[in-house]
Amino acid sequence: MKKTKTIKVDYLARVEGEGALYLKYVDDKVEEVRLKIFEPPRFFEALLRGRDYTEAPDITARICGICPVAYQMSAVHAMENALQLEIDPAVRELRRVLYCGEWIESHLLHIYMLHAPDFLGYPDVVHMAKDFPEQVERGLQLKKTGNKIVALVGGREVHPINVRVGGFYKIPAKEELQKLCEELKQAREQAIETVRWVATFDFPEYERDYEFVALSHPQEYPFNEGRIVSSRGLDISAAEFDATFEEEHVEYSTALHSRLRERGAYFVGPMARFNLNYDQLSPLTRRIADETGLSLPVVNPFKSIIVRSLEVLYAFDEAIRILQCWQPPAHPYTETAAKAATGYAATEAPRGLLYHRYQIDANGEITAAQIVPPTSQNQKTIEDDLAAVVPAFQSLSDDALRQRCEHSIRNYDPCISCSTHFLKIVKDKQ
Amino acid sequence: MSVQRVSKPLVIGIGNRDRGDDQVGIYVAEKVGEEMGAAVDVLIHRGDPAYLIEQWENRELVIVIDAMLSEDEAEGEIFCWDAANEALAVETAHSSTHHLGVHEAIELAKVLGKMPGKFYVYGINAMAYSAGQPMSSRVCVGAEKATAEITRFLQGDNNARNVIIK
Repeated sequence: MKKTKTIKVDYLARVEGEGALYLKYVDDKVEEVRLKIFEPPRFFEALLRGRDYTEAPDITARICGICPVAYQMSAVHAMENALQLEIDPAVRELRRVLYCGEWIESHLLHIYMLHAPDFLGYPDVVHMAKDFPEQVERGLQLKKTGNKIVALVGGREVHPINVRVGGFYKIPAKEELQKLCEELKQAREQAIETVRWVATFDFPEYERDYEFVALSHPQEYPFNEGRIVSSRGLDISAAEFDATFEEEHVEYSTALHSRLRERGAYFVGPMARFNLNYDQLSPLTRRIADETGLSLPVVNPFKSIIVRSLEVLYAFDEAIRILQCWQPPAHPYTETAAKAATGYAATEAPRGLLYHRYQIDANGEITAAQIVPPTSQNQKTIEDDLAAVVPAFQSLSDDALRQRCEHSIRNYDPCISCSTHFLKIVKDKQ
Repeated sequence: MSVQRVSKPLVIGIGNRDRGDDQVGIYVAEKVGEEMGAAVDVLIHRGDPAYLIEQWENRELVIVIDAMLSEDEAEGEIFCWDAANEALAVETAHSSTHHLGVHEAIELAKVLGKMPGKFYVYGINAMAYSAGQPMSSRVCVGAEKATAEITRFLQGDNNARNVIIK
């Protein structure tokens, strides 16, 4: 007699997205998996049409409360690409520092507050903190340091306001940046401890053959610039994104699924960056990575927590490297002048590649906008993971299997995900 | 070692100005700030509640105002919890991959010993959270009442929490 089981997530948490999960399988064969996103469309791309090109960084920053810097960075780089602007190297470096701050904030929230409880067997961080108060305290302190970077360089912790096309509205005082640098040096030790801590977790035995996609730059671990490359030979500029990737609508999701035109699902985010850019990590980060025993390529998505913690360490290391020898630019920004053009950019948001394309007219009015966020790009891969998780962990109890499915979603730190309170397993016998 | 606490009260308004009744916490916090002037600090919160913990941990008195959702209660009804001494009556604490909820932030602060000396949470029951909409009329009435009660309380009237105490 065949057993049909259905895992349903009726309602996924609020804030950045609303969605559900439906997973139906007969014995160990998955018949249907749907990561449903029913968050009403927010129409940011339509909202941008008719607005001045200089407004794009502030408008797009409102897309996400956790990674506004990523949206600002993709927006300014796309506009600067359209206007063929040359940016002062000191401004470019300061943008990297700002991006470091966002990675630190975002990654630490996920590592300590949202993902670690999965590994340690707690329903949430509140319960975990009763047994691991020092670790949770460390996570909060480290995150606070990330907040300080974004507040100082970006103007405030949430939805920063200091970013503009061509540079910054105001450059922070060098003394303030030096003081911040000293704080970062102290916090870096705690970042190392974070890597060592998460590396001790028990990781489910699970591997898949993914196509990883990330930016790649010959001189640096990617934040703002680089070519879009993949583990299967892709190597394109941001301007070629639309010819290489396509977005498709699926009936059960208001978020478009992005896929490689030739090959389908792909994987963006920390693991993709790490696998494709390991050599560009700082010597300290590589040394600590080697200490954890990670071997390249990392193809177990449950180990993304280690990779994320290594990116936190790198972000501290990189911000310190820049700030130690940084000299202010002569002007906070390069003057801009509108012209009819199309601009493209991809930067590396905490959860992966973030592509923007804008068309502006001679008056600087935006006539077309396209934004492809990382979660949209990972949706199909998350579904494919869920389809593979069920047969791989068939021996687990229903409850444990449900938890493993949720854990699988959280591996991607997506903008929408599930709440354990809403998962139900329904068994039917045929 | 005793904690050196900041005596000036902190009033935190939670919500989203662009989502109908969800803006009520922000509205009330700002109105209280106008009434009290420099006697209080006002924080309007838009993002990660984990950030709140560091804002409130060394305060003597913190008041958080947020929209709440209960289909069993009337729209615009005001509730108040003594969060330092009791658990919030939260039926389902949603957890997201992105955020801790305010409820989780409070409970985490308790576990880590990062609560302020006194901590009151005001919830104003609201139903309409559509984007781009103004606050509904009943929630507006509740907002004005909450503003008056919180202001009186901050002015030293300990009987001013004339709302439903949970």
